[in-house]
Amino acid sequence: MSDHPEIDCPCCGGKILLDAAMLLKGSRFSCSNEYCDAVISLSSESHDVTKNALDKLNEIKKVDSI
Amino acid sequence: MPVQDRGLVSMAQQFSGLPIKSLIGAPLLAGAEANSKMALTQTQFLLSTCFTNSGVAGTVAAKYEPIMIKMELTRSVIKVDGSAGTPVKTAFDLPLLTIMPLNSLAVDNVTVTFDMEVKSSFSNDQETSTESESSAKGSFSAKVGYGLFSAEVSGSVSASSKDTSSEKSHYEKSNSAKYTINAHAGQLPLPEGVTTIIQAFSQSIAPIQLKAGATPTPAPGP
Ligand SMILES: [Zn+2]
Repeated sequence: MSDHPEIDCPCCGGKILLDAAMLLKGSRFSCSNEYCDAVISLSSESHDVTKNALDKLNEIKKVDSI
Repeated sequence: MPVQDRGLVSMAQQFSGLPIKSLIGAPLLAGAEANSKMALTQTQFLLSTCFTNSGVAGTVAAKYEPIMIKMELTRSVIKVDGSAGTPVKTAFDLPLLTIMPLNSLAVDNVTVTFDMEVKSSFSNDQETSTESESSAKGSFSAKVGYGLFSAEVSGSVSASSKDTSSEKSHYEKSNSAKYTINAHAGQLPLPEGVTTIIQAFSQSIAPIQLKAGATPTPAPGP
């Protein structure tokens, strides 16, 4: 739920820094360990679900900022 | 002018009438109310967007199930001969809830600054000068003669007296007040439970290691 969560890389145990909003929009994030090439991304079949959620989130953020 | 009526302003008296309670309490209360509204909006958003409800919303029959999204973990494969193989993709499901960039936004700092300046000064400059002047003039002359001697005496007398009295008085009083409220809304740290859930999911997505001749076995659950 944070904008910049980090998860442990399942391959090497290093850190994968994520930008949640970007991840949900389809960006790919790779492991911070230079010797590891693990990449995490949203599956294309979930794009519609996340787009819908992000649109709704932007709506409530606008309301909150009024 | 009576001097005692215009003594220095009592500082304690100046502050005693101030609504300190509402000056400090009102902004804090407003911050708490804002927090409450934000929390409610965020909860409603989470329930409507990150869950499906198979029951009746708002009742005990409501049954919320988290909406899952599919994530992919891609790793490159290097063959024994050093050439690049087909990247291995591992798919795993994640609750949308855990990845939504919905921060727990809240008013985390309210600063109330209240400056009040009571300036009171009083000075009484009394300038009294007394000068008396009286004037009187007189002259006299006399002639005295005795045998061969004769004398003449003449003179004059003058005196002056002047009375002057002046009083200067100066009185000054000023009040000034400044009231500043700073409210800052920031992001609250993730609750420990949510962090644990995220870690549990990330730990359970270890890619499947294939041994020669073996069939794939699913990775252990969270
Ligand atoms: Zn890694």
